[in-house]
Amino acid sequence: MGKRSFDPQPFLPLTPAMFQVLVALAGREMHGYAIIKEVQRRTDGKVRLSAGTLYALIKRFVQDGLIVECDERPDPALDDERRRYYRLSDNGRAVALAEAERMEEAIDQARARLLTRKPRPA
Amino acid sequence: MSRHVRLFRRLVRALFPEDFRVDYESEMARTFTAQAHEARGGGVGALARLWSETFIGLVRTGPREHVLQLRQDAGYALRMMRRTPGFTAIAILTLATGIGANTAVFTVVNAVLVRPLPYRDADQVAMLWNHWPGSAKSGLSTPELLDFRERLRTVDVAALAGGAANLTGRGEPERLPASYVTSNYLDVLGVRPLLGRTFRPEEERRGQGFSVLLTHAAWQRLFDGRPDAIGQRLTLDRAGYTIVGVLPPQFALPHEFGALERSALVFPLPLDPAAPRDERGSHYLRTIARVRRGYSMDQAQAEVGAVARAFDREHPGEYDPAYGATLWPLPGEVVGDVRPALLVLLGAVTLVLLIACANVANLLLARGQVRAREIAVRKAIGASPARLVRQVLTEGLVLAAIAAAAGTALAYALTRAMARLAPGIPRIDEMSVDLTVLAFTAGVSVITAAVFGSLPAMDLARRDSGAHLSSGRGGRTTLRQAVRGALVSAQVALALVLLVGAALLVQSFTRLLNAPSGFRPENVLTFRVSLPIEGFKEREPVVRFFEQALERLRALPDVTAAGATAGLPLQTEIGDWDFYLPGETPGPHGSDRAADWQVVTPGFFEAMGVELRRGRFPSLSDRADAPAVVVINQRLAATYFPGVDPVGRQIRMSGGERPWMTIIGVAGDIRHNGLDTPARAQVFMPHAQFVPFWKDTTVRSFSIALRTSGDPRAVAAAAVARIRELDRDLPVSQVMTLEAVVDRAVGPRRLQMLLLAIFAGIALVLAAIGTYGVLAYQITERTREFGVRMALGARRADIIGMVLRQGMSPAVAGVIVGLAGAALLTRLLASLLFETRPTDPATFGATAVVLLAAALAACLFPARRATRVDPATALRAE
Repeated sequence: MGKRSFDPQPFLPLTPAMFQVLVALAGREMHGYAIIKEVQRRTDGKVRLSAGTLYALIKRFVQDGLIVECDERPDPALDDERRRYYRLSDNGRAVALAEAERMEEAIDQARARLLTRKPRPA
Repeated sequence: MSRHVRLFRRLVRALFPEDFRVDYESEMARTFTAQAHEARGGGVGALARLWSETFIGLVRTGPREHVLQLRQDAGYALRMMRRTPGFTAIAILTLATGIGANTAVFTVVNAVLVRPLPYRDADQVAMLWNHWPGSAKSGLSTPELLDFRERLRTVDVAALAGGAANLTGRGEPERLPASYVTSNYLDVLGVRPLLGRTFRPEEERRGQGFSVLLTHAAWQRLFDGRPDAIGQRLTLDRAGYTIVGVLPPQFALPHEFGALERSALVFPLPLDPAAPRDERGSHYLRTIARVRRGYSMDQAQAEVGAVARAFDREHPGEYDPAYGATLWPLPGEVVGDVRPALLVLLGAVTLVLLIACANVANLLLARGQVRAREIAVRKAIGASPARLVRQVLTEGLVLAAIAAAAGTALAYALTRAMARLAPGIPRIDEMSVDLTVLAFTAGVSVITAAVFGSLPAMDLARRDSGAHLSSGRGGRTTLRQAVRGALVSAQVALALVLLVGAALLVQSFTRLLNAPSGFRPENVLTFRVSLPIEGFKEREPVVRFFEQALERLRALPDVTAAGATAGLPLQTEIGDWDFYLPGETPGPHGSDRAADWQVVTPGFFEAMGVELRRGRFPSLSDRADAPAVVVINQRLAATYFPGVDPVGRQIRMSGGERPWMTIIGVAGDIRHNGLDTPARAQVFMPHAQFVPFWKDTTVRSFSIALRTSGDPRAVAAAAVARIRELDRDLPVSQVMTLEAVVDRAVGPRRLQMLLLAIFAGIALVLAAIGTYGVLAYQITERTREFGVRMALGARRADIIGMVLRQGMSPAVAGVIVGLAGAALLTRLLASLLFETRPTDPATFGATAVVLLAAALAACLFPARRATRVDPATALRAE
């Protein structure tokens, strides 16, 4: 039952939003609004999360043990209001990693079949 | 809080389940506040974009969270059910019985009453019947049809006459049921042929119509459904007919939906509009009328009435002063008198389902107490009452869904059995589980779950969690006991209503079967032989044929008597005919005397086992050239010859030059038109002497009855062979025992009775289980009390008495309420009962005793268990 026996495969594939939330939390603990901002920043605004979508994901990730809720504490950047912070668990890290590998493999396969844009001349 | 955030919160509350909101609503609102704050800096465009993204996100995720929770609750419910297999099995079985019975009866109701008839705008079509005192619905005569057809402006009129034709030249000769219709009949009915065409107006003229339409079944059987049947010729009654069309598969003539046989062939009805229209007594046409565009059924009704009233003025002496004609809308005419019976059954299964609901509600209440600790723990860790209620209701839905699946399977079996038990119910053969039925079952199941689940859910919502955690024993026990007692009372009351209804129907049916039919149906074989017009145009060859046939049949071993009649009792209906006594002159409206008339051969009464009350039955010596004779029934003798011996007196049928007939005998009354219809005055004329209404219309079709010393079915093959010896092209049809004829006539009533009896039996068992379950549980709860009482010296008899009082008081209350309910509800049964009062005190009393006995039996087992409590153990247990 240890962490070593954890199999990330049943969680794959992740939707872009799921993947981005896990990746965002890989760096540090964050509250909801910060996750939204981080995802938006990392994807150049291509993945925009709404509050509803985000918290549905958070609920699922918490239930599945991919992220962990840390204690509630104030966010100095936001009027010191108390917020709930989340961080990536080891299992969550394993899932995000497995998803990244899966995508990498897919890209490799596409490249092997020349299914990719020719590198533009510099 | 800005109005943006307020709106956001309102949306979250509307769209997300409570569980989710408890955990995340505040966080979501904070996040949205921050987003809105930022967007405000970006102007209206940024705010609009935030809102559209947020709204879509909420609408997409909220309902999904509901589904996830439902799935989770259902999974939990299934795990709970697996942990208590006994409880689960009883609850599912109980509900499946209720839901299955409802689905089965609704399947019949759907086929018979709900599904539209296979005619275009069937509600615009009506039957047009003549009526006068003593005859509520009589057919039309040819002149009446022609008059109506020419004069009515609000409707199109068409008519049909029954018949049959002998098919030869295609293997074994066959007698095919047929109908003769006016050329516009199918248009008026609203039916298009599947192949070919309907009749043309000129085909209606006598001698012009050698065209025939095949029904779908006949086309399949005779031509294997080949389209090249159109244009082929069939030899029917020894004449050639060309097939011009095939009718659609679901087609049936309005009066043939529940018929023993349906027409296989449709011929044009020969009509002669130029013929004199004064012979108006032969009412053999079934007439339909379709309301023309721009008119209403009421307007049509008024016009039909007015035209009918004119007949009386135009033909003095032909019509009764109370004569009239009425349109009867077709849907009701097709279904006939089955409607009230089906509605009663639907009511009965609703009661069964209510009992099942009460039973399962009680089980759930009992289990709720067992689960009190589990619920309390869930509450303590933060589950809200609403959340727990939702969980309990979901459990109910899961139970109902499983029960619905089992119930549908049960319904399927039940409907097959019903179709076999009552083939005479119109359209019962069209029964199938379609979308309407499935929707009904789904709806019933959801309502059922809500009904049986709501009491436990309310109980749960009110429960005080602290009490359970501390002691494991619930508060509010008295209220809960009262509710459970009331549920038992309700079950007993509902079961009593059903039992009374069933008992009344059983009595009614028994009385019907024992009603004096006037004949002895056991050991009689019947079949129909119809001669074609070719070779049998006149009466003499027909008489000779049947005399020879009967003589051969009588020579068969085991046949003790043989005779024939134009129509068998309970298989055909007969109408009345005016007659005169000597010295009477016809009044302005003809004779006041009328009798149902029948044409019979010698041997008929003997074969049917009809009692001879006076004089003699017809014999072979009553030939055409002998003095005309007639046999009357007892009813006629009592009505028109009170206190005198009618034998030797004379009567004469009205119309034309008819002979005076001397009464030679008085027969017992035969209930010809139904076992539930007392015999009317009747005359039996010997076939050899019967003068037809007009030339060429002598009776050629007879039902032969053979009385046998053994099993009548054993002589069937030999009997058919004897007929074939006389004419190898002659088909023999409707070969069945007289008992089967009776059986078929009482089929719908037997089905009603059987079903109601089955439902009442289920109700009784459920009510007994319910009483037992509640009491058994209460005894368990009071184990300690009984122990203390016995330790203090209470005797076994005291304990048993206490338990019985506790168990029987809700049952007694239920019986009292049930008796009152039954007194009100059995009135609805009145129209279905034969010689049985809906408020028969003996039935009510006996039923109450049966229910009380069942309740007592259900109480005895728990009562005995109460006396086995070991005081020491009970006291130690605390």
